[in-house]
Amino acid sequence: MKLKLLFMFAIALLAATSAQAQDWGNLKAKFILEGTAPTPEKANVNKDVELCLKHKLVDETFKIDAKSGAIQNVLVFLSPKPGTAKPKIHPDFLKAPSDVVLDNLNCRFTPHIVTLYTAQKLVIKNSDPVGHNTKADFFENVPFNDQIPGGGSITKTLTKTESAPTPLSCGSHPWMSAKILVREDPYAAVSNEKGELTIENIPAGKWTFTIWHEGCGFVTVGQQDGKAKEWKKGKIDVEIKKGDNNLGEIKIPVAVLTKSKK
Amino acid sequence: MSVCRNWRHCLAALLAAAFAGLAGCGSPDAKFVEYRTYARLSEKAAGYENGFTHLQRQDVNNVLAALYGTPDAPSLPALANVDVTKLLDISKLKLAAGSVGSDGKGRPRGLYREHCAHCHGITGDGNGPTASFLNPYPRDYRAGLFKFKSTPIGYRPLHEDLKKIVIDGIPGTAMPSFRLLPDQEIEALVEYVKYLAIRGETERQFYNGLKDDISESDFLSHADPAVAAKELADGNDGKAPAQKAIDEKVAETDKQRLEAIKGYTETVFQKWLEAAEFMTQDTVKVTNRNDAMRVLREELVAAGSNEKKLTDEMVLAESQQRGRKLFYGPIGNCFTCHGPTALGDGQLGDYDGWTVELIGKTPKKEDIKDYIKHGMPEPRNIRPRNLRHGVYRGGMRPLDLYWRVRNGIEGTPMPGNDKLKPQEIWHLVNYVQSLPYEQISNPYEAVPENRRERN
Ligand code: HEC
Ligand code: HEC
Repeated sequence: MKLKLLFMFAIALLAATSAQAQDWGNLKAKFILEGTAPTPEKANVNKDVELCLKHKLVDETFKIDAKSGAIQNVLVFLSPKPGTAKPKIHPDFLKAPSDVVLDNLNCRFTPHIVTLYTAQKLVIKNSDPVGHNTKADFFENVPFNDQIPGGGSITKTLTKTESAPTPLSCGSHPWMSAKILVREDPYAAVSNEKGELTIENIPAGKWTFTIWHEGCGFVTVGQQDGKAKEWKKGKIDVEIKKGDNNLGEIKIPVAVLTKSKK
Repeated sequence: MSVCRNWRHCLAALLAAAFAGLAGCGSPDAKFVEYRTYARLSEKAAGYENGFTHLQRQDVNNVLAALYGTPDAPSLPALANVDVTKLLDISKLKLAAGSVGSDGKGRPRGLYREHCAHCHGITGDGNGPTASFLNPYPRDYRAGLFKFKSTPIGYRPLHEDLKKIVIDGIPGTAMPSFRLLPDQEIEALVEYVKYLAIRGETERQFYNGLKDDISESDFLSHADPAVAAKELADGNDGKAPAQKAIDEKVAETDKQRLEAIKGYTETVFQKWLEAAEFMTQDTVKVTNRNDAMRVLREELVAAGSNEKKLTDEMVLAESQQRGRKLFYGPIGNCFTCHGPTALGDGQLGDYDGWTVELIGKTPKKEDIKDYIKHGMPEPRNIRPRNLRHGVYRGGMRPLDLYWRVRNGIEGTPMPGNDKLKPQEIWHLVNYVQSLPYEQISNPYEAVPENRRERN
């Protein structure tokens, strides 16, 4: 589906000029794999083996429930076209926002997929007794590669929207990886172990969202409530109404989900 | 603003000054080459099976030429929100640009092609004719990333940082010293390096924009009426739109694209201007080694050392001891890469940032092949420095080492140590400088001790 520039522009103008009270809605979705879940590969633990080997580390790209097919770590985020109006921020998000914590724990990053709204600070902790360093190759924000002493932490302020998640890595432990999505609005969520996610308090109106997973980047093909769908660049148009809005069950074929990992 | 239909009109309107430099240029043979690896990365990320079309890429090239001119006739964009002249001086660029020779008044021309292009390439892509024989490869300026500078990772280098490299060269690599050139020529060359970097960074911004913001068969600088018609039809149950509606949509999109091009270009210049600004803040105070040693001496005296008997050598030895502890412990963590005896053998499977960006940290064969086809040099592992040689690529002054250890080395795995106090950085520098003289047969039992520390 093509992005409807003009249309979005008109909607944005309307939204900006209307004086009536703002309605807010939630967006829900559930992601299920079609096909057999890939077995996570064992991580090549070649550093600090005394500490790290016992944690039986694996490549964390695919966290899929073998029985239900629920896909964890699918990311959905609101993506207004550049040059069009930005979404209003719900008052709840404007109260002093909590920090986003990324920990280096047991020789892995946790959580694996992080979302950050630019009003929040990023705190990177190192709860391990060994040193870690965290490298972030941002496109818009200032990239960094900082040594974090065992037991220490660093705090970062990020100010700009990134159009896709940014890889995080540790120079000392090559198997460690995570992704962070930085946005100027709080409208992003990551699916849980049931494959479910909710983005809360989105301003009512027509919006475009992006669906993304580490195994394939933009999720471009799938079934939505049984109907075959194609989402160019992972973009899906949704009209958000007051209250709950449900994208329903989205099935992603295993060949699509594992595209960039094969 | 008047409606414009193609990149020429749009950009002429946007960048009135841009074409000035194109007048009266000499032989038109030298050309900038396309940033094919980055275009490939972008089209893959966007999920385009067939990649960007030849016409889309040509459009990007046209916009770049309108903004930056050609290798023989450089020009600079005139941007509303940034003062380009604060960063680049067109008269200096003209000394460095063009083919080798002089301008008739005896002033040199073509300095870059004379001294640098055979390694760094006409475009600054690090891909000159001799590049493939060198290790490390010559710098590809187009990502805007430089290793040896006073600014932290994530910030562009200062003019003086680049100038120092051109004057001193990079010992232990093929990068020669140009100390013997007159200052005016070095200035021109440094200016030209910045120009090529900024041009390349702008090209990256454009391809990133094509990836994110623009639909598949559409263009960076202008709308395709066919695409506009299809989008209008899609939004109206497939009904063919009126010509007027198409015209309006095209005009509207053209306007947005122009704004976007301006925005992308300004972002690039802003990054360079921000670096200079950042370095004037006192958060990046540079302390000197003597101050650090004086503070350490005071500490030692307060802890009971006899002030009279405490020589400078003893203070330095204590500092080296402390540096050694940091080096092999979980706070400095240097040994994980530089190895248990600092021979640079702790971690050998890494690639540099220019490579990882394209093929990742654990590359697949098909990806390597694909990117080599698009101009990536054969990937080679980057080695942590063997610190027992005492050869430092980024400069031999203690201050150079201070910057390396505090800031990290951009484009490589070497991290910065923002969390350490300036004092502690100096301890590390002192220890690093002592390493070439430390006996390896008696290497402080680094590994066993450090096991104890970590468990
Ligand atoms: C014989 C080949 C060769 C020539 C000639 C050469 N360079 Fe280099 N240059 C290199 C190599 C190799 C590197 C990368 C070294 C490294 O990564 O440590 C480099 C790196 C650089 C860097 C990056 C420094 C940094 O901090 O990242 C700059 C700037 C540079 N060269 C400028 C120039 C200029 C200007 C000229 C011409 C006056 C020139 N070089 C000529 C080989 C060359
Ligand atoms: C994650 C791996 C890693 C860690 C940790 C690391 N380094 Fe490095 N270091 C490197 C690499 C790789 C290079 C070579 C970079 C280049 O020039 O291409 C390097 C280069 C250096 C250099 C040479 C600078 C020059 O000008 O030639 C010094 C000195 C150095 N490191 C000191 C340290 C110290 C001190 C620490 C601990 C505080 C440390 N490193 C931690 C990977 C690392």
